[in-house]
Amino acid sequence: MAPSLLFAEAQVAGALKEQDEDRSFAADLNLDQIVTAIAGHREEKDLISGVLFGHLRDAGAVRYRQEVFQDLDDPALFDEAQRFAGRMGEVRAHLRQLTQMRYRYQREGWLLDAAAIYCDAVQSLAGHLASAQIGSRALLAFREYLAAYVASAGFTALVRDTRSRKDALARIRYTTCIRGDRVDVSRYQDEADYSATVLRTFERFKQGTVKDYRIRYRTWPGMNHVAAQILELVAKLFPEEFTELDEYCTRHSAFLDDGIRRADRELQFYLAYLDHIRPLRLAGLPFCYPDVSASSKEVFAAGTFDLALAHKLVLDGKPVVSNDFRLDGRERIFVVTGPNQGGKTTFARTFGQLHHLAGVGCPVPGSSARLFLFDRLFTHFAREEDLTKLSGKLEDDLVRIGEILRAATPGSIVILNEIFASTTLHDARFLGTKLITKVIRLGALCVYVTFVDELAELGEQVVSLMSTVVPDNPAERTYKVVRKPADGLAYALAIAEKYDLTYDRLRQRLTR
Amino acid sequence: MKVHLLYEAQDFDFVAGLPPGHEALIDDLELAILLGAMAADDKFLAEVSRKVLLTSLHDPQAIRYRQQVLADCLAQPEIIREMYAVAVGALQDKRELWWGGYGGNYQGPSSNLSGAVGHLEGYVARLRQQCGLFVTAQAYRANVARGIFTHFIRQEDPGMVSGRLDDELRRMSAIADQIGPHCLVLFNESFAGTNEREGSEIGHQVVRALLDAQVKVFFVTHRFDFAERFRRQHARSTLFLRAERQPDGGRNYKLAVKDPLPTSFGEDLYYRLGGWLDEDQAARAHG
Repeated sequence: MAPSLLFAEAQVAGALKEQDEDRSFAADLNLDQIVTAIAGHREEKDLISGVLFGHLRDAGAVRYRQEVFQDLDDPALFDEAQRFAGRMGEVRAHLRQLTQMRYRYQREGWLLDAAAIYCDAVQSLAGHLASAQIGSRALLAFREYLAAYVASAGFTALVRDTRSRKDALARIRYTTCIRGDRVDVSRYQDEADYSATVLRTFERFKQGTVKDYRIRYRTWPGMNHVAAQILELVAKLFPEEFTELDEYCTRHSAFLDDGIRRADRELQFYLAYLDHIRPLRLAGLPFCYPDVSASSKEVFAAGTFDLALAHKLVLDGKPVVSNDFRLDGRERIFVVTGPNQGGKTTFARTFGQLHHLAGVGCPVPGSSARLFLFDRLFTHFAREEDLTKLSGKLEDDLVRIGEILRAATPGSIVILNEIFASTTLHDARFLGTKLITKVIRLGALCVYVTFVDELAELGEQVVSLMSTVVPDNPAERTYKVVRKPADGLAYALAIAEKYDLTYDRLRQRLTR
Repeated sequence: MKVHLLYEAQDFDFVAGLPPGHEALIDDLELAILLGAMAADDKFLAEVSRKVLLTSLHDPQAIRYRQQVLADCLAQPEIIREMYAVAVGALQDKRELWWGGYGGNYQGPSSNLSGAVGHLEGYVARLRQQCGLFVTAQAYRANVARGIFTHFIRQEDPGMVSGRLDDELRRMSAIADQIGPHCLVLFNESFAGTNEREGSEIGHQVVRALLDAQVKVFFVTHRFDFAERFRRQHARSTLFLRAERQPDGGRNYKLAVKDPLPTSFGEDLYYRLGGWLDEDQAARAHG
C-alpha cells in the first residue's frame, strides 16, 4: 500500500468528510479568498480545497504535513517535484486525449508516448529522491515505496517494453509518393532524399538564419483520414512492429500505478500552497512552522500578518504591516479596541487564519509561532441589516451567539467582530460582559473586537489590545495592534476631518 | 399624436441620466422589489419604471398631474390595457414590416405612444400589487424634497481596503457634494463604526451642519448620547420616535412619539432568549 503524503495513517477517508461542517467562518476570515487563490484552476482543485478547509486536531498529524513542507523548502527538491507534477499532468492529458481518437494506431502511439513520459517521470523522481536530503515521514515512506516500485517486475517490464517499442517504431522508414489524388506508401529503399535536394536547390536564396515559424504539430491529437490511411498502409508494410505494438498496448494499457497517482495528486496540495506564498516570501515576508498543541492555549505569533490582505498588498507593491500576539498563563481572550481603520478586523482575521492554516499543517505567516489545535472555529462579524427579516438585528445577533456558545467547547476558538454595534452602549456593555464571562468559564480562546472599553478589563483571562495611530497625525493609522489598556480614544474625528465632515467644514461645503 | 401621461406638456426625457446616489437609494430602500413588481419581467417596463421612479418631480403641480392620470388608470384599468395592447401591436406591425424588407422608422411616433402607455401599464401592474405611485398610507402630506439621499449601515468591505468608519465617511462626503437645501437624508445606524462618544460627536456635527443648511434629516440610531444631545439642545426642531415595546417584550413594529432611552431592552431580550450563563438560565426557569 502506497503511503499518503497527507495523512500519517490510513485514518482518513472520514477525516475530510467529518470536517465538512459549517464553513461560515471562512468568509468572515477571508479564508475562502485564500483557498480560491491557492486551488485556482488546478486539476486537483477539489482535493486542494478539501484539504485546505479541513483541519487536524492531532499534533502528530499536523507535523506529518509540516515535515513535507519543510522538505519541499529545498529548492532542488521543489523543482523536481514540480517537474514530476508537470510530467504526470502530461501523462494524464495524453490518456484523456487518446480516448477521443478514432484510429487504433494513433491511440496506440499516444499510449506508448504517455508510458514513455511516465517512465521518465518516475525514474527521474526516484533518482532524485534517492540522493535527496529528506526528513519527512511521508516522503521517506514514499521514497521507499518508489524504490520498490521502480525495481518491481511490472515497472521494469514497462520501461523495457516501452523503450523497445519506441526504438522499433523509430527504425521504420517509409516513403510516400503522391501523384495527383493517388498516394503510394512503400518501404524506404535508399531512395535519394528529395527533401535534401530541395533544400540544396534553394540554399543560395537563404539569407542568414531565420526564426523558425513552423508549428510543432507533433502533439496535436487530430489526424485526418489521409494520414490515417497512410498509417494503416505503413502498418501493413511492417506487420511485425505493429503486432508487437498491439501486444504492448494490451499488456500495459493500465500502466499508471495507483500509489504513484495518489502521491502525484496529494503533492498538488503542497505545491499549490508553496506557489501561493512564494511571491510573499520573495517580498521578504516570513513564514514559519508553528509549534502546535491540542492542549496548551499559551499561543503566540511574532511578525504575523493576514495572508489574504498581504497577497493583495504585495501584488499592488504596497507594504505589509505585521503584528505580534501572545497569551500567557491563564490568558484566553483578546479584547481589541481603538481607532477605526487601525487593523482591528485584520488582527481578528489573522488570529483565525493562523490557527486554521496551522491546523491544516501549512507554514503560517510570521517569523515564529505557537498555536492551538482547536476543535471548531466560530466567527460572528457585523452584517448589513437584512430588511427581509422582521426580527431585529439585536435579536438575530443574540440567537446566533447563543448557537455558537452552545456548540463551543473549551477546545474552540471564537472570533467576534463588532457585534452589538446596533444597540445602545448600555446594552452592548451588558451583553458583552455576559458573553465574555461565558467564554471565560468555557475556557475557549477568543478575539473580541469592540468599541466598549470596559470589556477589556473583565479579569485576568482578558488581554486588552488597541489599534494605534501615528501620535502626531491621528488620521494616519499604523495598523499595529498592541497590548495596552483601552483608553477610549478612537480618533474618529481625525478621520471626519480628513473627509471635510466636521461641522465647520461641512457647513462651508453646503453653502457654496 | 403625442400623448403626455407623465408630464402635462412634455415628453419624459429617457436619455437623461439618473440622479446622483440612485444606486444607494435602490439598495437601501430595497426598491428592487418594487421595480421588479412594476416591470413584471418586461425589460422595457423595467427601464421605464426605474427612470420614472428615480427621477423625482419638484413641482407640486406636476405631481398632481401624475396622480390624476393614476386615478384615472385605477378607475378604468381595461381601457389602459387596451391602449397598451394597441401600442404594442402597432410597434410589432412596424417591426414585421421592417423585417419584411420594407424599411420603416423604429423611432417614429409609435414608440412615443407605446412609451406613454408603458408607464400606464406599469401603474396598473403596481396597483394590482397594492403599491402604486400612491404612497402606502391612508393620508399623507409632505413638502417636496429637492432630492432624497440615503446613508445606511453597510457590511465590512471584503476587499479589505477600508475600515467601516472610513467607508461611512466617504459615502457621507459624496452626499455632501450633491446635496442642497430642501433635500432629505435618511440615515440608518450611521457612524456606528467607532465608539459611542466619537460616533455621537461626528453624528452631531454632521446633522447640525445639514439642519443649518435647510436639509431635512431622518436618523435611525441606537446612540443614546447622540439622541440625548438633540433632546437637550434642539428639542423644538426634533421629533423623537421610539420603537414601541409591549409589556411582554414583544414588538408591534409601531413607532411612538417618545423621548430616547439609554437602553434598547437588550437585557430583557437576553433573558427572554434564555441567557448564556447557567445562573441566567436557572433564574429564567424559576422566574
